[in-house]
Amino acid sequence: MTLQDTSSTSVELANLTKSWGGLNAVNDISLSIPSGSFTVLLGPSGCGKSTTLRLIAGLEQATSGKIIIGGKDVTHASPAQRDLAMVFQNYALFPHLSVAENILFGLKVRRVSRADRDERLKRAAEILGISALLERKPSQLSGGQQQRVALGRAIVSQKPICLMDEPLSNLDAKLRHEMRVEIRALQQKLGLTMVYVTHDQTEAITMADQVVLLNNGEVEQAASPHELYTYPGSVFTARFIGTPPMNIAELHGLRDAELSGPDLFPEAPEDALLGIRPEDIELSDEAGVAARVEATEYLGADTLATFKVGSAQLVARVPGRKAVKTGDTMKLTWDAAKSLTFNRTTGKRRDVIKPEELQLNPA
Amino acid sequence: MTQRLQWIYGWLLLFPAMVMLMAFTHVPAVTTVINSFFSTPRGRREAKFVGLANYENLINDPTFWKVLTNNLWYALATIPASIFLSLLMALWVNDKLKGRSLVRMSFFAPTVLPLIAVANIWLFFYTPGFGLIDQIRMGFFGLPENSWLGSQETVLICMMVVTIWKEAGFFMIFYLAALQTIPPSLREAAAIEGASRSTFFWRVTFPLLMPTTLFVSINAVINSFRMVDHIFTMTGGGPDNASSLLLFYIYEVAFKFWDTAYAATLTVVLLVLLSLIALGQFFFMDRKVHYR
Ligand SMILES: Nc1ncnc2c1ncn2[C@@H]1O[C@H](COP(=O)(O)OP(=O)(O)O)[C@@H](O)[C@H]1O
Ligand SMILES: [Mg+2]
Repeated sequence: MTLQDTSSTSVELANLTKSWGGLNAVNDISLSIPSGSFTVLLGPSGCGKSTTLRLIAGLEQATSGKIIIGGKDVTHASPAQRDLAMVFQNYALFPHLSVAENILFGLKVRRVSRADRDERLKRAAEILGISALLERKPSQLSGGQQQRVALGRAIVSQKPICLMDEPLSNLDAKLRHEMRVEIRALQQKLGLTMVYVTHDQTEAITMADQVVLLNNGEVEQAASPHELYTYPGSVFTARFIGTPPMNIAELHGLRDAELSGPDLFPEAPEDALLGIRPEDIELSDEAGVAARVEATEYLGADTLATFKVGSAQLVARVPGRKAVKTGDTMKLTWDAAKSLTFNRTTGKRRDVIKPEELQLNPA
Repeated sequence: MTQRLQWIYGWLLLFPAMVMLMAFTHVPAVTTVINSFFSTPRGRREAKFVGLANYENLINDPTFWKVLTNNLWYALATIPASIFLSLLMALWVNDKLKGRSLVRMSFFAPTVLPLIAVANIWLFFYTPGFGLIDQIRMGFFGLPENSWLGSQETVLICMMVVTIWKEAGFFMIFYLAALQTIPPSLREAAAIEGASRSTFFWRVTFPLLMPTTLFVSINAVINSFRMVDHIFTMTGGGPDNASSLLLFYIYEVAFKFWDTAYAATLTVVLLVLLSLIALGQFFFMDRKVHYR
């Protein structure tokens, strides 16, 4: 590792494990979160996202492994020593204190001067548009406003690292979208190192510089949203990202269908799985595989159509104006370069499988 | 028509409860006040209206002043002490410590036991010579034996200790329940901000417990005028009324001396006293209490 500059606020996790009883909630996670980046910890419920975040915050003690913040080993440091802010899922506002007192709680604890406090409060309230609410109690605020107060607490602390645990999950869809944009803008404006936990892949894809997909306490894949979407490293990733997710179909099942024109199917062992995004599939009059419409779901701008192709199923996103009816037969085609193949036994993408793995699991 | 019918139904439904409440609460209370203006009927002599004569007697009755002073000291000592102790125990038990349910159980035990039984246990502690306290005093420190309940100086304090011991466990349950409604994330948020345990207690926990404190303190006040079972078992109010409390005195006047009019007068005083304290507490503390 190169010399760390002291102002850096990168977060490194090295072989981090947390277990309760026999269960490893976080299992040997190694991860690098660059300074000033927006990193999202994504995964299904119970996969260890919150535990990982709480380990970084110092609210849980690691069973083994290391946590390094800004080049310093903080594995055994108290939460306060780690110099970070955290926004909780339920906001953790003090119900008996006014909005202003809630936001200033930490500054008072740390004996920040009065003038400085007032200045920071004013600025944060302006940024968040809650200047009119400062005298209210949390119970007199809507969910969205409470959320802003919790953000305000993180902003005035002026800590370089901010942790958020599903901060938007209690808001309605419209507000969630607004706050997504706002939080991302805020992070960039303040240059924060953000670690953000969510189970919502849309949030992850739209906000993150880096998405860390967790599965059963382990890192399934850590990559940029684009890479995660286009080149999922495993069937799990492919099925988790995207609405609807990537089609994963048995190659030999697809091959049962009648094919005209150029070959759409890659060279691969018989039992490999083919992955193709619904929006990459096109309806065609001339060449393609024969398919029959089994079900349709009208979404307004487009329609999701489920096709029977050979003995496999594929979902395609069909432009709204094209009429597809259940029972219709037509031809499907796609750019073969956009399809991926996965090893059925390991679930890994085939071109990332190392030769030695192939020998262990002969295809 | 239906409106009227509903109105009748409403009253019919209320009727049984109202009769009970009137017969056993309201009527006796009013009768007590009326009786305090009459003389005690004796034999063939009927009660006759005496105006404020009973109240004059009361003002000139040294025993009344004695038990009132006793009761005030008793309240002044037991209320804050039992509240403080119960809060302390609740905070301790609320922490994640090993064998916590056992500790909780043992703190709560005095509350489950009837006061008479508790009094018997303490009677043994206080027994001169071979009681627990004297055994420790004599065995470890070589001090002479002491009659804790026989001395005017110590007897009231002994009664206070029993009450505090009995009440703290009860109040602890309320504090514990209130503590468990405080989300753990508040403590975590404060920890990340660098707040120490004591800062967190004074800035967050204590204010959030204020409604419970109000509730508990009203109960403590009422209990300090109401719980006299242990006086019966342990001292009978003696020696020389040194451990007698207002309610115990009322009992004596009414059922030992059979002076019902004077007992009614004392009861009126007790009721007025309790109402004033409860009202005062509500108005004084309401402003400082945060209700969620
Ligand atoms: N305090 C705890 N004690 C025991 N098990 C826990 C505790 N916290 C979390 N777990 C377990 O660890 C796993 C991961 O939990 P968590 O990190 O909260 O998941 P999520 O990804 O939904 O945030 C779950 O199986 C959960 O049951
Ligand atoms: Mg969680």
